[in-house]
Amino acid sequence: MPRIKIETPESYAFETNLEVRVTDLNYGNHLGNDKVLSYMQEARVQFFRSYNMSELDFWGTSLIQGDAAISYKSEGFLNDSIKIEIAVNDISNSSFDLVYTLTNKTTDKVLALAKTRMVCFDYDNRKVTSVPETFKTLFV
Amino acid sequence: MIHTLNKLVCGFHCDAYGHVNNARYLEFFEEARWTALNDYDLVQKLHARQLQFFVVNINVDFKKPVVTDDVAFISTHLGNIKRKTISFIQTIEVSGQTTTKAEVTFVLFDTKEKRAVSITDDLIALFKPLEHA
Repeated sequence: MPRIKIETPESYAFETNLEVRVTDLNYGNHLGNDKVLSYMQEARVQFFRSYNMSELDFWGTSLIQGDAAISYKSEGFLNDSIKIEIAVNDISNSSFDLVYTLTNKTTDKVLALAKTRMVCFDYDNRKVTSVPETFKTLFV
Repeated sequence: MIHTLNKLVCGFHCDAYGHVNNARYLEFFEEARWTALNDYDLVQKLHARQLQFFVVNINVDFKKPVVTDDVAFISTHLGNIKRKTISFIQTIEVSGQTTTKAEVTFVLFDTKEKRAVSITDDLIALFKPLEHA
């Protein structure tokens, strides 16, 4: 699989903060790699909620995740404050990228750069749908 | 040799959307890696050298949702070995169809020196049993 190169966005559509909990730590006594993907989802859900939308109620359609790429840059530890910024990128007919910059505010280091491909999807009919025009208007 | 692991997907693996949560796949892959490494005593051998795996990159393709009662057939084999990184290629199949594919890249971190080590020939030899023929 070719490694996906993630460019740091020039600007962001949304920002939130999460604190590393004891249940987020793994055997290395640092933030588990799988938890970073969970943090991304939490930030994403908050982002959509700021528009009164959700992953299942997304301007008349729903979303399913097509892929994810995470480049881990530094560690996170218990009680560290993590800023998560989200940018919208590469909107196509039926999908778009969300690009995430996770910054450890406690250590002042970038924790990870990441990207998820979000596909518009009708769960009832199991079919890919179009990206809603309202979303395109907001983020093109 | 490709290492394989069968895993029954249970309700608690799934999220509010009725399928395995995206982060849970990373746990499945990690469980499969640990099983593969333990089957070849790699964990013990690396710990003896005070080395730990630190994930530096994950690429995952989610091709089909996996749901409760599916049996996830997880395969793991060595991917790329570079000067300082090693990757594993892992896939999940359900009923013969690929649902998820990932490449997980690591450094080997010296817990005493507090730095990633170069992947030397003797370290490469340890991972040989997991090479994809």
